[in-house]
Amino acid sequence: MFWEVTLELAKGFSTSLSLFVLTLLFSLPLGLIMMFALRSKIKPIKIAMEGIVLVIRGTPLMLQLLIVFFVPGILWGSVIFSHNRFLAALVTFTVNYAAYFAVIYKGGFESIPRGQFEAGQVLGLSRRQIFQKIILLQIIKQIMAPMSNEVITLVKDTSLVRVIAVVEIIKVAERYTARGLIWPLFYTGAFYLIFSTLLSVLFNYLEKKLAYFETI
Amino acid sequence: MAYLEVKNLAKQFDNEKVIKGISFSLEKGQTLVVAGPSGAGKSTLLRCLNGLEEIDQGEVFLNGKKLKDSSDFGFVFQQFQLFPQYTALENVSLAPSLHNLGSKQEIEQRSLDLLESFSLKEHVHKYPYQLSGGQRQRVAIARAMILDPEILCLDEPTSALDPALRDQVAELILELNEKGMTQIVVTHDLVFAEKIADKLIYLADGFIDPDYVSGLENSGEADE
Repeated sequence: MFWEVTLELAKGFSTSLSLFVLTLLFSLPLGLIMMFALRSKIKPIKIAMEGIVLVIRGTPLMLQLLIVFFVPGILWGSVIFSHNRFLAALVTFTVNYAAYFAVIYKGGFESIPRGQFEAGQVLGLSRRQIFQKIILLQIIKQIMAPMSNEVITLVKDTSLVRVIAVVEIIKVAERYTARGLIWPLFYTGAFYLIFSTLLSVLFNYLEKKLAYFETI
Repeated sequence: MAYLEVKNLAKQFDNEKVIKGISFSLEKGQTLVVAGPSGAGKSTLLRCLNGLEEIDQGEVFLNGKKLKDSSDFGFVFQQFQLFPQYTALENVSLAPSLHNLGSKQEIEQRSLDLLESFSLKEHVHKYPYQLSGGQRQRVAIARAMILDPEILCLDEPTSALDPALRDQVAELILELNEKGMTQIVVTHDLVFAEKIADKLIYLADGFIDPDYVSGLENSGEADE
């Protein structure tokens, strides 16, 4: 029984992991684009993006899932998401996490002293060289801690997709609960814990790698 | 014409004139000190010459030619602005490497030689946070000088350091002067200024105060 449950839960967790990996794949670059929009000198773009980020960060992810899943069908009769629940989850998660990443990127970028950019400038370096050779690593060091928090939160947030009936690990566990077995539900915690721990170890390693220098 | 000629230089920020039309000249190998109180426009003048601010009015001539860009100037920031993720050696060798000014070995050797000339031989592999303020300043000077600037500019070189180091900084600038380096030094410290200056101009409220000028021009308010 134990191995049967473990295998079934693992299949459910693979859905959670797929969502996790794909969300990161798309939201990390999207967050960068949103960050540029937040810092845009064109006021309408800046204000529009600030509004979008405000709404996304100010409303529950669960609610956003329901909106993305149901609204296209209600408003336009579109079946794009009702026929592909995983896609609805992916789109929602990507945009949601991109908004959080955008704010983290922006904070990291703006924490770099202007003098660092100017020091590159007086040495005759191009903007690209200044960013790649001087600024980027400093930003990565600054944002490593908040990014690790968000990534670990994403692992756990994948459980929310059950509200639009995506069959992830907890939904699988609930099938056993419906048959009178409660322990598989608690057992799902082990999967999350192991994966979160692995991520924590990875981020700790990365933070230690970047600890060789300190900003002054 | 002098080696460096600045004519009627003016700069404003948001309709406030910070530099109101100043002129001065400098011969090769001299050290010009720009002194004055905070807010007088001293650092702004230096930033204009180094391309960090756009000049609104006026012209700058170097060696008889009108200046097109700031590549002939080297700049040492008040807070040094060393790159924290690079060692002292890497801070100095970064720019020449990116400009392809020689092979990796040549650039590294030149950087090592320069750092050694600033008594930093034992510190070349240290990161800026591991260096003292005085050591960081010398790395910052080496970083500017590796590109062979015509004129080295230093913005308030004593401000970020322990006051007890003032004389050491003065010695360093005088040593560079003896080696033929043309320098422009901004400072609010008149005692320090008197120690190092071949020429001194006193900026107050965007103008050069004529009482502190010897043989320099003051053109007063810039033409509109």
